[in-house]
Amino acid sequence: MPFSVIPSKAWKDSLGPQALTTMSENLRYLRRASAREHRWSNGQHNAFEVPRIVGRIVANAWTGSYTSKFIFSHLGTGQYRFVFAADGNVALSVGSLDPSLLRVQLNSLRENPVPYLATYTTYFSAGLLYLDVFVRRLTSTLGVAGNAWALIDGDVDVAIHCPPVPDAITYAALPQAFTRGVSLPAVASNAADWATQVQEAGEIQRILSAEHVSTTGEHNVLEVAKASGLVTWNGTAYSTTSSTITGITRVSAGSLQLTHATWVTPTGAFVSPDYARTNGGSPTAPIIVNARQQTTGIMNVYIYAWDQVNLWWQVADADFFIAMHGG
Amino acid sequence: VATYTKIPKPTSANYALGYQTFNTATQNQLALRDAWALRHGAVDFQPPPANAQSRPDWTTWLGRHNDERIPRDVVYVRPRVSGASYAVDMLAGHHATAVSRFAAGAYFVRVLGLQNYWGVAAIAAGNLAVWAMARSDYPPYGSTSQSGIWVFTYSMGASSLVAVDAPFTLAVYGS
Repeated sequence: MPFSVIPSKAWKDSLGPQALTTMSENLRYLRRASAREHRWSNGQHNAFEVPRIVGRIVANAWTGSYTSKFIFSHLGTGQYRFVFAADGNVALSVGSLDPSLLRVQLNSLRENPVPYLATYTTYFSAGLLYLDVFVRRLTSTLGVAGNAWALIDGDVDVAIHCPPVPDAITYAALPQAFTRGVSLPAVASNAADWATQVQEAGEIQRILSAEHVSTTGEHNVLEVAKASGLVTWNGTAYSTTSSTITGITRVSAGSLQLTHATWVTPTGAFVSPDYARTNGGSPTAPIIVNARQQTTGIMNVYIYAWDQVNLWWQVADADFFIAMHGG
Repeated sequence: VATYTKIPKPTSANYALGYQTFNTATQNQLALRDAWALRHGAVDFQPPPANAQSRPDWTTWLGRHNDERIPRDVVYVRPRVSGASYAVDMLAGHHATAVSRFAAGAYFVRVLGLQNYWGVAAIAAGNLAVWAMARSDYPPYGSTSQSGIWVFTYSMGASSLVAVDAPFTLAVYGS
C-alpha cells in the first residue's frame, strides 16, 4: 500500500475509524521502508552496497568506524591485516563468510609526490576470515623510464562491504482495522492499538536517527559518502556537476584541490579515473588517481599517467570520479 | 515541513484521544515519510519488467538507498582459466548484471537501471603489483554498444605495463 496523507482534524471532527486504519497502513509502509536496508534492532545500514566499515589505516593503526572488537595488525612493510573472528566483530558477523563476499574499496594516500597503489586479498583459514591490505609506491622517478614499485608503510582508506546480516525484527502487531461506532476510550483494545501505533512510530524514528539526521533524513555516518561526483578536465580547467563539491582549484598539472563542506575527521575518499570526455584522449590510457585530505574541508587529488612512448609515469590532468567520506 | 514530535504512550484504557494528538501523530508520519524518502526509494510497488532486457527500477524501490553518494552495487569479478580458454564470472547485483572478458585485463561490466554511473575498482590479488581502473562506457568504447563500465587491470613490469587478468571488486555509483 502506498503512503496516504491524512488530512488534519479540527475540533469535533471524527477521528476514525478510516483515518486510524490509514495510520496503521502508513506505519506498515514506513516499517518496510526502514527495514529493507537497515537493521531493525539498531538502525545500522544493512545492505551489500553500503559499506559496513569505512576508515583509514594510518601510521600502522586503524582509525574509523567499528574499532571495538576489531582485530587489526601490521604484518610487515606495506602489509596490514584485518581478522574477522566468528565472534570477533558483532557489527560484521562475517565469521564463516565466503571470502569473495567480503568486498573492498581502497584509496592510497599519497605521501610523496609519486603514485601509490593499494590492493587486497581475502581468505578463510582455520575458522577465521582474513583481509590483507597491501600498499605500494612507485620507486622509479617521474619522467624517467622505469616502472618499479615497492611495498611501503602508507596510509590507505578502506571501505568494507559484506552481505546483509540476519536481523531479528520484532514488530508489534499493528491493528488491521479500527471498528466503526466505538470510541478509543470505550474499548480497551482500541486504546492498546493506539498505544501500539505511537510506539511503532517511535521505533521507526529511532531507526532513522541511528545513522541519519533525524529531522531531514540526510545520512550522517562515516560509512556513507557526504560528497561525490565526476570531475572533468577540458584541457584548460576542471569542472563538475556535483552539488556537493563546492569548489575546484588546480594547483598544477595533475594536482588539484576539491572543496566540500567541513566534516569531522577522518575524511577519506574513493576515486577512479574516468574517460577523458571533453578533452579527447585514449579510453584505455593508464591513469592513477590518489586522494588525500588537506583539511576537513579540502581534499587533495593527485593524478599520474603512464607515458606509453617513453615508458614512464608523469603527472597529468584527467577526468575522475570521487566519493568522499567524513564523520 | 512536518517534524517529529514525541507523543506520550497512553497507559490507561481510559485514554482520551483528542484531535490535536491525532494531528501530531499524522504529522509524525509525514515527517518520517519525508525523511526516509530523502535518500531512499519511496515506491511501494512496481510492476514486473516488461521483458527480460529491462530491470525493475531498483533506484525507486521502497527503502532502497537512492543517493549517488552511495554505491548502487558492489560486485566481485573473478577471471579464471578453463583449459586453453579464459572465462570470467560474477554474481550479478542489482545494477551490475553481467561481465565479459574482451582480452587479458579488459573487462566490461554491464550496468542496467542507472542513467549515470561510475565505478571504483580494487584489485583482489594483494600479493601482486597490479592495479585496476574503472571507466564508465561513455562515449562507447570497443565492440559493445551496451551500457556499462570498462575495467582494465595492469601488472607493473619493470619497465612497462602488462595487461593481466586479476580478480577485483567493482563498486558501482550512479543515479
